[in-house]
Parts: sequence; C-alpha cells; structure tokens
Amino acid sequence: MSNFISRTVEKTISRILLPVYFLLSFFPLTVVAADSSGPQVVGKQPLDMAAISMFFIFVAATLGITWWAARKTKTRDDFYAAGGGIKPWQNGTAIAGDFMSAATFLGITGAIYGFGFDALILAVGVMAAWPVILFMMAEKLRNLGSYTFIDVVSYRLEKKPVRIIAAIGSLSVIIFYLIAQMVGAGKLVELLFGLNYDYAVILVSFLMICYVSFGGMLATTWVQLIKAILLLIGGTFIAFMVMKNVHFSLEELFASAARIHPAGNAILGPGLWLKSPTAIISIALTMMFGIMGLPHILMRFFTVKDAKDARQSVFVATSLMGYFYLLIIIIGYGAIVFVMGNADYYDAAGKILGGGNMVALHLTQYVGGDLMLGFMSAVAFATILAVVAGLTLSGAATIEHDLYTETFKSGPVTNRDEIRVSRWATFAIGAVSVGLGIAFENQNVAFIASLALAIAASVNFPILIMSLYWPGMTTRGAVAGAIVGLVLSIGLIILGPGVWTAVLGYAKPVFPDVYPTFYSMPLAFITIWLFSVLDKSPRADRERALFEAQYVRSETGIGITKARRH
Amino acid sequence: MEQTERCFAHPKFKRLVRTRGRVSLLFSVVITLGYGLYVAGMAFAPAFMSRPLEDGGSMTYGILSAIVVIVTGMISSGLYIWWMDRHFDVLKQELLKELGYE
Repeated sequence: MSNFISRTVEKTISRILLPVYFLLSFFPLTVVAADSSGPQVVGKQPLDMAAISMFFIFVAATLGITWWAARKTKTRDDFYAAGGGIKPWQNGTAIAGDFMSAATFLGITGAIYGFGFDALILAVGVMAAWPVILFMMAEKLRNLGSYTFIDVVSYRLEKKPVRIIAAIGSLSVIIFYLIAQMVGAGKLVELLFGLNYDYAVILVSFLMICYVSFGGMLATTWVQLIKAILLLIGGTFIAFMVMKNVHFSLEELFASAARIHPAGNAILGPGLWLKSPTAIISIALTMMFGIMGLPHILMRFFTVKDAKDARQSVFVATSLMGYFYLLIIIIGYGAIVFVMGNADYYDAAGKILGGGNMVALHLTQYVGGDLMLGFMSAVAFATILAVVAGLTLSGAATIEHDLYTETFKSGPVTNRDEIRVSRWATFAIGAVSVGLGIAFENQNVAFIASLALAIAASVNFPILIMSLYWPGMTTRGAVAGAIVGLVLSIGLIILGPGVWTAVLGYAKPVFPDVYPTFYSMPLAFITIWLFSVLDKSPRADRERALFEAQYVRSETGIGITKARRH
Repeated sequence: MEQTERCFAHPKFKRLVRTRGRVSLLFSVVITLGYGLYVAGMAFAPAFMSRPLEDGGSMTYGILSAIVVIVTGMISSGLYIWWMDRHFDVLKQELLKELGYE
C-alpha cells in the first residue's frame, strides 16, 4: 500500500508538477518579453530587465534539460552516473564548471581586488591539485568505484565501519559547502533581483531538488556544462575588454592597478592577506588536498565509460580551468583599475555597492554595459545552481548507496527502492540546506567554506590516497585516521579565529590560524599509519592480502563486472 | 581471483605498472615542486616575490610564478595524456590480449 502511494506520488510529481514548473518559469518570461519589446522609458532598471529575462531563459532551458534527462534516467546507474554515457569533453567541461563557481568568478576576483597577489593562491592551489588528481587518482578511481569515492576506500576493508565514517566525512563536506553556496546564492539573488533572502534560498533549493531528483547525474552534468561554456564566453569577453583598455599590456595592467590601489605596489607581492608562514602553508595544503577529497568532484569520474575517458576528461577540465584562472588574474587586477575609485560603484558612505563579492559584476558593467551585466548575473546565479545540484546529488548518493543500500539495509534492495530512497535523500538535503541557509544568513560564510575544504583534506583525502597506494592500511587504521582528521579539523576551526572570535565573540582565538590543515592532515596520516601497523588481527591480514587484487583492477580494469562497467 | 594472480605475476603487468608508476610520480613531483616553490616563496621569500622582473616594471616574480604554475599544470596534463595514450594503453591492450580478455 505504502509502496503504491509513494509510486503514485512520484508519478504525480513527475507528470503534473514538472509541466507546472514550466508554466511558472515561462509565464514571467513572456511578460518580460512583452515589456522589453516596448520602448525602454524606465531607464533606471534596464539591468534588472536584462538580468531577469536572461535568468528566466536559463531556468527554462535547464528545466527543459531536466525533463529530457528524466526520461532517460531509469536505473540507479543512470541516476548517479548518467549510465556511464557522458563523453570525456562533456565531463571535463562539467568538472571545470564545478570549479568555475561563483566562489571563483566573484570570490577570487573580490579577493584580488582587496588583497592583490595573495589571493592568487586560491587559483594556483586548484591548478596544482588537478594535475595530481590526473596522475595519481583519476583512472584508479574509475576502475575501482561505482558511484562514490567511498566505494574505493571500502573496496578491501570492512564495509560497515569504513562506509559509515567516510560517509560522515563526506556529508560534512557536502553540508558545509552547501551552506556556503546557499548563503552566497541568497545574497546574490537578493542583490540582483531584489528578491527577499528567504525566498531566494527556497527558490535555489527548489530548482536544485528539481534538477537532481528528476534528472539525476545527466541533468546535473548538462546544467553544469552549459553554465561553464557561458561563463567561459563571458569571462573571455571581460578579460579581452580589460586588456583592450590597457593596450594589451600586462605591465600596464599591473602598473595601473598598483597606482590606484591604496596599498600600492604591495598588491603585486605577498603579505597583504596571509600574514604568517603557517597561514600560507595551511591554506596551500587546504587548497591542494581539499580539492582531492571533494565528494561531488570525485563522483564525476564514474560518469564516463572507462579509465581512458576519465583521464581525458581531467585533461579537458584542467585546460579549461587553467585558462579561466588566467582570465581571473586579468579580471581581478582589471577590477582594481576600472572599479576602484569609480564613483558609479560606491555608495554615499564610500563603500563598494553590494560588498567585495560584487566587484566582478561591476567590472562587467563597466566593460560590457547593462546587457552584459544581465548576462553575467544570470550566469553567476546559474553557477550556484549547478554547483549545489552536484553537491546534492553526491549527498544523495552517499546516503542511499553508502549508508542505506550497502550498510544498513539487510537483504536485497530493488532498483525502485534505491531510486525512491535517493529522491527522499535529495528532498531531505534540500530541506536541510534551506534551513541552514536561512540560519546562517548573517554569519561569515568564508569560514564555513574553509571548513568544507579542511575536512575534505583531513578526512577524505588521507583515507582515499592511502587506500589506493598503501597495501598496509587496515580498517582500524582508516577509521582511526578519519576520526582524528574529522575531530581535529572541526575542533581547530571552532577554536580558531573564524568561530571562536568572529562567531562566539571571544577576544583571542585559542588556535591562531583559520585553516587547521597544517596540523590535522599530517596527524590523520600518522594515525592511519600507526593504527594500521599495530593492527595484528586476522581481519587486518586478510585486508592486506586483498591489496594485490585491488591493485590489478585499479591499473587494468580487470575484474570490473559487466554491470559495473555501466 | 585466479585471473588476478595470473595478471599480477605477468611480466608485462610488472613492466606496465613500473613505467606508469614512474611517469605518474615524475609528473606529480614536477607540479608539486612548482607549487611548493611558489608557496615557499610566499612564506619565506616575500621580498623576492615582490621584486619586479625588470627595474621600474610591474610584473613581479610572484605573479610570474603563479602564471607559470597554472600553465605548467595545463601542459603537464597534456603531456601525460599523450604519453598514456601512446604507451600505457598499447601495453595494456597487449597484456589483456595475452591474458585472454577481449
């Protein structure tokens, strides 16, 4: 009976609600179109018109993709891994899209605007991480796993404890990352479209649930892909216009920026943002190794046909990201030249309109006018949608695949059950992120994002890389290491300046740095090693002996069953 | 299981993983070293990183090194893919054939 009801509900949702979403999203579009066909007398609001109509075009297009993807998404394999049918260039562009996020385009530009050179580490760290993922991890992951990186970690270890602790690490990363994205999205929509913050968060969550629960990985990938291409086009245009304005000379760009910025030549070298060597090394470690432990990124390796395609897609991703980060350097310093001190972008009190994260959009307006601003605003919003969709999907995969099916459910699980549980997990994650997004509205979200990366670097990355390369790792070592990494990274962030002083209001932080990775990541590794070598149980011997088979499969793909081949 | 053991003992498998391991390690060391130098420069030699390439210029060693690490990441990925397609995949196909797959 209950099964019948849930099936009916599912059918109702997909048959009735989906067209309703279409109507809702097309309706304002036609209104906007009718409005903008007339003469634009208002004058003051062309930005909103352009931005809002682009926004609705995008939403309508992505819902169309979702509808198309929903018809092709039938099994769990389709849902999490798009049936393994994503082409390398598509997957690579989507991976790049995950990194060309609002945090990159708006955040790094804003950070360069404020601090100059020090902010570049946010881009350089990513570009150091990706090639290493390619050289050391991508193909092995594809050969060993099916939906999540936890498959790989638990490959030869005892499933239950390893999956549980890895799932806790994974879900913490996802939730913290989601909060940061949600708050960013809410603020952005509030600012761009004048929509109330709470409604904005609900809207983002609603669209994200829609993409993920109906379209699965196929829709999530295509939304990310399209957005990435749009962002690349927009970024190229802005950087080109900036370079045109400085006569295509980097020398002139940096010199003008140093002339205008109050810190002068200091923006061309280190020291304005990161004050101590430990702070620099910690953020360097967090950037590089945190990325290697992001569940929603690692998940993308399972969407392609085989290891070769996984490899190709990382190459596409690295090239596109590298190109985009080079653009961001130009855009960041360009923002100093053309936005800083430009009275159009400051309020009466001398503060930049919309805060530091908006300088990229102000620059867009300066070089490209209101139409370009509308386009880039819609793309920035799309970026957040695409990233939260990817995060939610990997969260749903962890809950359903790693926890429900592989750990807590005894007995066989039908395909229908799996899809049902993952849809419920998607709704649950959506609801949680709305709640937390609203709760954290006025908090500093930078520390939340840093928490996500720090946990990824201190929990997910150590157990993953050790499981791939160290035959000696045992269940006990993996679980102990993950617990140490988790407790230390969260504990030190709470005791650090991000929470202890900024949120709890104490005068001095107990732990001086924002990023705990300098301590938490090495200690996680040491714990894994120590507990593994001390583990003399028969189980540990069995696990070490299994490494040979894992190694063969990770290198050659021998042993992947037909079903797992997609 | 038996298949795996046969593969593990196969001389071509040994050659395959040894060369691949070396290549992966070499590339990883190159990029990690580049990034490490950049980070070490920021942490321990800020004066050098702030110095312009030429007197009176504005392009500093720091900005140049950031660009170099980014470009190195792109180029090394390309070279790695090229090597893997040319050598690793060919050897792997031979191995799989000899073991009786496809």
